[in-house]
Amino acid sequence: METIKDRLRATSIYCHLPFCKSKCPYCDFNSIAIDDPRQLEEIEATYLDAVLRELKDISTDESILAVRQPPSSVYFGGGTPSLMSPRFFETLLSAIEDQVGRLDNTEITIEANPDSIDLNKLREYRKLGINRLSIGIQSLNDRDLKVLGRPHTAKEAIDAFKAARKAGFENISIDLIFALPDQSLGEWEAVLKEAASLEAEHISIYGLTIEEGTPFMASKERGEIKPSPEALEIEMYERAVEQLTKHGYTRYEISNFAMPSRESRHNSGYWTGRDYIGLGAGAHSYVSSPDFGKRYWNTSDVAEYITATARLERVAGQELLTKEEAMTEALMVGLRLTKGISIDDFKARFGVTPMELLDYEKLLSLNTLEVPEGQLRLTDKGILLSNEIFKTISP
Amino acid sequence: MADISKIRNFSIIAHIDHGKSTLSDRILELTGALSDREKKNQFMDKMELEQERGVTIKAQTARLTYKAKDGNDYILNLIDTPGHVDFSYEVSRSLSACEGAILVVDASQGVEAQTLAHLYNAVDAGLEIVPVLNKIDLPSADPERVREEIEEVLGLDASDAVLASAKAGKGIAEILEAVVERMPAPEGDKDAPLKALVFDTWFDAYRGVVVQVRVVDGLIKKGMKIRFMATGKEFDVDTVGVFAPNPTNVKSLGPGEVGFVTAAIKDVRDTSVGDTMTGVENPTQEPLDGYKAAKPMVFSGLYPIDSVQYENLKDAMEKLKLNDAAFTYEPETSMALGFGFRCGFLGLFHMEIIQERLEREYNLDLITTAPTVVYRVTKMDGEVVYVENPTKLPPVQAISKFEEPYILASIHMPSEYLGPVLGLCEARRGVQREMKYITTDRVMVVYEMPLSEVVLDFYDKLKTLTRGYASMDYEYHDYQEGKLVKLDLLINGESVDALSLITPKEKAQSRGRDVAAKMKEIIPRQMFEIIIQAAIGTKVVARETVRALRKNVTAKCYGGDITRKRKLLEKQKAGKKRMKQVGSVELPQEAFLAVLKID
Repeated sequence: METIKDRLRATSIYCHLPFCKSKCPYCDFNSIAIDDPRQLEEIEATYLDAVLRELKDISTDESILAVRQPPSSVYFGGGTPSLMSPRFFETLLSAIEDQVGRLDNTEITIEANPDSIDLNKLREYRKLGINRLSIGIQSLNDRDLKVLGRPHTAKEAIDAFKAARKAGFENISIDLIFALPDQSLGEWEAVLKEAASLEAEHISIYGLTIEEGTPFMASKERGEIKPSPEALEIEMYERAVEQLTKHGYTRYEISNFAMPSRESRHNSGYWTGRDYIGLGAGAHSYVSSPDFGKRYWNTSDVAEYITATARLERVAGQELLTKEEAMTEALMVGLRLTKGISIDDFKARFGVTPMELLDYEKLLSLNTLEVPEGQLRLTDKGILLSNEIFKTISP
Repeated sequence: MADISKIRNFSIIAHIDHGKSTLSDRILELTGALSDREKKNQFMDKMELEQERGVTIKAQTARLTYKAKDGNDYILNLIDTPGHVDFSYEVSRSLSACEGAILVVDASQGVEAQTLAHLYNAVDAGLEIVPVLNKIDLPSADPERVREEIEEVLGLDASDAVLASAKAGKGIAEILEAVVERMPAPEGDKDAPLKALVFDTWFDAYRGVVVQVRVVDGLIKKGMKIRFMATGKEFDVDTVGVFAPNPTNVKSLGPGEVGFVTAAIKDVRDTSVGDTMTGVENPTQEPLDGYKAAKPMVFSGLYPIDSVQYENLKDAMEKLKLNDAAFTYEPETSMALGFGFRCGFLGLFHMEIIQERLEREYNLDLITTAPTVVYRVTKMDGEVVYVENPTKLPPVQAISKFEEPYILASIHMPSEYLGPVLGLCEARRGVQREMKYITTDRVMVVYEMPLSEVVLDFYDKLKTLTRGYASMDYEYHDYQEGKLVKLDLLINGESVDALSLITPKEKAQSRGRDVAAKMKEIIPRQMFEIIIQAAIGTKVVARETVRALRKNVTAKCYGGDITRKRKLLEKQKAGKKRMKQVGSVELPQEAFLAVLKID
């Protein structure tokens, strides 16, 4: 049987590629818009050098578990990673093989935008051993896509998906956003239906969050866009769970649905407290031991990241987690998984049960929690109120 | 001991913001009392809170040496007075220690309510008044108009008023010359039995209670035995000194002199403001007149949000009390809030100051219940009880007479605001006693009003209505019978005692509706529905519902989000900690003051 220790020992590598053709008005991710292909080519080369330098720098660090063994997953996130040439990934993946470990049994994901991939590129990605594709479809309704400022149409998104299949990707994930301004329940259901018909292995659905500092927030403050009413957003979410379940998906995390055994191995690592190293501008790394672990993050400024060669210049911040913080995080991320957290594992690691840290009786009486077979997990009602539940954590 | 003919004891009196503190600082500078290192603005306002609010809470004094144009050295004792109506008794005692007062009037604003109130106090104390027109360098200054206003309104000869700008340091020497020339020297007999006025006291951790005195007759010397005549307590004098302005020990204080005495006094209550100090061996027969014990007029409950802070709160109150004889506290228990204290204050301002000091200086998170006045209730059996907490009100059937305290409020304002102000006063059950045009565009009204209507946010409303141009002063008047009822608030069916209030019967229903509606705004949505009801006796007069929160969920939480989300959560948890759990409902601090927030 797999022990907690084994599970915790699985590690992953994340690489952040913060470049997009254009910036979407709802996005608050760390990315910069580069429209000129020549400029992009140049920056790709210098950024690659920087990431390779970072990898080399940390690969000899004995304290980082994730560089001492073959990774269980590698994930290229963005930005729009699919803007990068296949050569970029070829060089980087072979450096990882050289300096970290073999990628024989590794889930290797790349995020892609429908407008930045074609059959040739996808075939080359696939040849490099990239075995999972996450396509940012966001919607299959052209009006929604326009509202979201996406540089592609619904048809282009479907074509991109089909091209990926043709190129040999057997593990494809698609992202969808709901609760868009003025979106009706019927429109969302239509998007869901069409998305399900693509038969992707994995679907992520995100309720639109209007983030600080985005053009969307400015529009909201000017009264130009109105956030979706609470009741409608709940109904949209519930309808999605219903529809996707009917199509054979299992909701394994608040926003993530997968066909059997197609859960994102990489993202599951975040929710179960595994080690990861983050390469690239703004990337976070987590080392789970000694004590209650340490998290550190690179400077998010791309230019600064590229010129920083020494680790001290690259790392913008770090925190050594206290027991209280580690427990809070374990609950905060662990309860996002629908299977919940193992009460025994939690107790083995922290010496207390997760119930002792929550306003358990009240939450139970409000029907937000349940405790089946040694697991503590959120009910459907609890999922929608998860942030309220996390607020009761008192370590 | 100083030559009595070369002593001048004076105060500076002014409406708030007319420049009193700045003028004090300039006088200190000019007389060389402040070194450069000490030239921090507003030296006289010592407490951090005083500097922030620009109001003097405790009186300060400074003994200054001034070489006048006549070639003589004079000792000037500048006695600062508290700047707020809540401390009017302390003001009157400080003034009693003086022979003169500088009346500062802002040359751009003119006479305001407190100008008048302070001047009346100064005239009552028999002081020689030197008017000063301050802020003459402001573009909006109109010294001639204000000079006329002083003469018309105050009936004071302002022909020789000094023109000054304390900020720019103009006219300071002229003011001091006027002090020396126009104000009389004190009189007194150094061979008579000791008679000294206590006009301020505070607790010093090293020396015990420091007593500020003005000697009238006789001498105070180190080692002598003294007695406070009102309290009867006796002590041996440890030190005698003056504030120059830093504390400096002297051999003795004689007639006309102002200084401090320490005598290993442990409790500030052994010596109160207004008391007379005399010698035990050769006591005076006649105490100085005018002594009054400070009496709280406004009460509210103070409770720690976290019950583990109860002892800390108690300790903090004990310490504050050492410095503030007017502040009172008694333990009380609330069903909703647990263990706390019913506290008495001189007024609303005093209440705010105490709360702020407790929270800031002692790091406490507190719930304050709505301020209430002291009701006088005569029971059927003839017993008279004073009720300072609505929950302590006897049952309706047991009450034969229900009375509440009234004040006389005088309000000054530009005449364009007269309509709205009269409306506000009438709405607050005021009865007009006087209306007078001070000039063609300034008007004063005097209203007889229940104090309970004033403690409910009257002052802020007045300021809003008049865009800050009204000024107000008040004095306590009497008790009057009223048709009063207790209004209860229920949260999810449970009456919350800390939210009960006493209100006139004819207003009870609308007030119940307003408070319930305001509570609905203040209470954040929670994971379940919250019903708010207002009731008089068993009759529900208002009902509001805070709908259950159904969704608060984060869409994305991946590797780079975890630290940020956890920190956000910790921040939210800290906010939640400042809420009070009543039953299963979490109430924010503001909920307990909702009644102050209704229109």
